[in-house]
Amino acid sequence: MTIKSLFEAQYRKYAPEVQNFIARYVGNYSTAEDLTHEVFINSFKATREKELENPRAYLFAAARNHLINHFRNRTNRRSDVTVEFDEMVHAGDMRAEDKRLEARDDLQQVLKAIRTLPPRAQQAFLLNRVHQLSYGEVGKRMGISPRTVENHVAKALLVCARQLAASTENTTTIADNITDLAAHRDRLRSQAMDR
Amino acid sequence: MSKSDLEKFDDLTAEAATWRARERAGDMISRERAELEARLASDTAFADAYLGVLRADDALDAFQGAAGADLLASLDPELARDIGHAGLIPSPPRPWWQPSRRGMGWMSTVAASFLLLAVASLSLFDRGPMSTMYETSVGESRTIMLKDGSVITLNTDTRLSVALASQERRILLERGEAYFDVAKDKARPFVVVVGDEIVRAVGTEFNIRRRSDITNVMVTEGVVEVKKNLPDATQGDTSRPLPVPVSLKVGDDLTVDHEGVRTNTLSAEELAQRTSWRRGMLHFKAKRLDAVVQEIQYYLDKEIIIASDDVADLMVGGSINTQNVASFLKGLELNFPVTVIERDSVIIISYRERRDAGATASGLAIIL
Repeated sequence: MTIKSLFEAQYRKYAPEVQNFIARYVGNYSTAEDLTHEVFINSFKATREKELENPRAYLFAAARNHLINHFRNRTNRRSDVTVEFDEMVHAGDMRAEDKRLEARDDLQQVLKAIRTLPPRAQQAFLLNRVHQLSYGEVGKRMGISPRTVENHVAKALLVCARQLAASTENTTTIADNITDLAAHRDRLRSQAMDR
Repeated sequence: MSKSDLEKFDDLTAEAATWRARERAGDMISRERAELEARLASDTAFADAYLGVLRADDALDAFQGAAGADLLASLDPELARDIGHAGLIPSPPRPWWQPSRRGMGWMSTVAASFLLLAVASLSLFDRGPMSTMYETSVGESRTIMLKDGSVITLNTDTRLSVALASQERRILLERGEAYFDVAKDKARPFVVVVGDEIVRAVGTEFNIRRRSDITNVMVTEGVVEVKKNLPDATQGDTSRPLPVPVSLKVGDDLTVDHEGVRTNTLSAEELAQRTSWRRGMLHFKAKRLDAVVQEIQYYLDKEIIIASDDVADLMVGGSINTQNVASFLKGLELNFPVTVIERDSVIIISYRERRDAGATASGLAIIL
């Protein structure tokens, strides 16, 4: 087998699985697809000389690292320029519109989670996240220590992550296949009514 | 997942959330950094939990800054109001939505790209509906999704405000052009106020444009009703151009200017072409260059100057990418005997007299 066809064979064999794994965290189809491609290309470049004992394990480890970098880069980029809304609502074709809607669905989920927090934790978290005050500044305003603010933020991240994981477990297939704007709207609206 | 799996997942997620909160403080020391990386490298279950936290963290970043505060207010007014009532938000003279940590840099970025003014900041304390303003600068196009599921696309240099109340969804289009994809809600009519007109819809799609005191409404789906925006007392005034509501259906096109009201019906192709700005394209069919320039001027913040009448008379056609208007103009040089010169604030299109276009252009550039 040549190197190229080995790569192709592995891609055919593992790409769907890897992409599913990635899609659990990035939620929208085309980003998951892009990231999967990158994982395979990077892995291929890094390993072209050697035969892998366990290509599946290697690919999953590479996918984890790639996802972590993906999210950390996004955070870093955003702390320079805060126009996330702009990014989210970037004008364009229907596909871009779907992405926005999927992102919006995640937002509904995290808000649901934040509402379960005690009021003080909500306040601390929103001051930090929305109003972009540092832990120290939030602490000063609320009369608590920066360490306590950090704990509130950790707690908020925990409930949000838990909520997203739970919602993904139930709706993975739905979220991945939404292309119909009207159907998605109905879903959003019924969620809004549930509240 | 079994119960113990679930507990383990929760424990790991809690640990991951603690790490992420530490990381986001921005002052993590290298020993902590190394510890986190080692943890990620050695335990895949922890890495997965950490990824779950990163995903949540990433979603939450949508609420950052002025735009984020507004987004939060639109998705969850109560939550936004709670924090306002707590009296914890930064107080004037610094507006509450302005971050102190990042300095002023982002302000200009927001202003330049998508100025989303949280005019709701004060009305948050009222019980009335919140009004939110959306604005695009020259050359931009943005899509916003309202809480009711309606989607509005703003074309270049457009300004509108949105107020969603329990009885009515009210939009004020101050200037520019927008495409409305209205979510059905019989109990809450969707009303757009534009100039002296009121456009009313339930669930439908239409395009409204207001430029240079000319208002145009174009319906692409369903039916909308257009009437004069008059106080009840003057409703019977027949000298006004729109004494009774006009009903528009798919393909109908209504224009109001100082001469009065005109309606006509567009073919499906014309309709698609006239709304193609949403996909960043403008289409022209054998149109005078001065008319084309008048249209594309809305998308370009440099003034386009046509240097002579014989240039204005040129007939052009084709498709123009709204993000690339300047290069379209530059491309005119290839097909027409014109010279296009781009400066910091103007683009000048002049007739090319001599065959040696380069010499003409550089000659002019020196004079300029």
